Amino acid sequence: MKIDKSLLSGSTSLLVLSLLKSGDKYGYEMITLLEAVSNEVFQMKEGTLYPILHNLEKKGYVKAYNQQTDKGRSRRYYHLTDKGAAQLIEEKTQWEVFSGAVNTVLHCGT
Amino acid sequence: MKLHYATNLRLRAWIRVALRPIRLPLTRMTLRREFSDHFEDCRDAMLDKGLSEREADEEALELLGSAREVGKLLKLVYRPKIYLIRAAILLLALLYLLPWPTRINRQFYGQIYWMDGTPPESVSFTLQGWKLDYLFKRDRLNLELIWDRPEDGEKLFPPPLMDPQEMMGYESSGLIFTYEPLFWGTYVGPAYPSEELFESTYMIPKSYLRLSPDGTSCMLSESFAHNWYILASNNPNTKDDALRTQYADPLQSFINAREAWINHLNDN
Repeated sequence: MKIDKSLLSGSTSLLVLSLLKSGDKYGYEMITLLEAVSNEVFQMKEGTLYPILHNLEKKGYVKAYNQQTDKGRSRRYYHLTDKGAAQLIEEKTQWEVFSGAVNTVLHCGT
Repeated sequence: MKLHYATNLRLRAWIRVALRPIRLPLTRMTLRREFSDHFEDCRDAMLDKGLSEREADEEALELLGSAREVGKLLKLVYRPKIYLIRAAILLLALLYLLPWPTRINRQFYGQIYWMDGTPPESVSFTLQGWKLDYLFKRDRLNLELIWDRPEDGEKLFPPPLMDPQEMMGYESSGLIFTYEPLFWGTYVGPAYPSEELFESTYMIPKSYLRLSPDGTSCMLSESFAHNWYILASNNPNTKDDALRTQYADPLQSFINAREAWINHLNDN
């Protein structure tokens, strides 16, 4: 099922921060994991992911670094900072309140 | 890894469109490299899955998404802080337009020293104008638009060297641009030290040099040093032949005449 962009746009930073909670990852890895965990609901393009990562990096929630791959190429990894972890908790709480309220309204009277 | 020619072209076109909203060259360069690396990451993953090179290229390009959409998102991330730019422009405008209180609209009293031994005379004039000083690392970049208004023109240039009417009212002294190392003078007060001005003389535009109406003398205005020096004179009243020089090269004449004048003062 295709999800409206406007529904997704407000949740992208929450999703990305959640992905990084389990460990440092690189871009393609995050996209494939997101798709797998969400049962293909969230199919984010790489091009869309990187501005989000840049924005999170600018805010200090994420830190990027380069590492050599097996093939000798440089790969960019992203790491969740302490500030990012705190932000994740904050956004997760907000999401739970928000989604709970939406569900309540949707099921009201049924 | 060397990409197929067509893939390389498409990737470069994609990056060009995505980075179009980004103004800063350094940021563009960094992002260009980053997107290329991410593309190759994706491509490697496709190749590991067993796809052919061509298929891997297609898949990796597809995964980049819309270049325009990415460009819009990047623009939001890298937009400059507008209010800072506006504040900086306003500050620069104020610095340039407002008079510099310590140096502008001041009454100066100075002495005229005549090369021919006539006793020095006191004069006064008002200095007005706008000035902008940049302190750039160890040096000073000085941009000034100033003009002088001699209040006592008659005394400033007694006949027959200068018609006093020529010197009344406002005159434009032009735009001065000087760039001088601070170690020549770390203090810049109401008057530049003469040595400092001497060292930076070559930077003063020739609008500061004037010929007297009778064409016999070339003068340099050392406005901040209070003093007016006659650079050189072919006036027959000049007693010392050694001081009489051609003013074809006024700046060199000034340097020569000043040296002679300093020696003259030291001897006396």
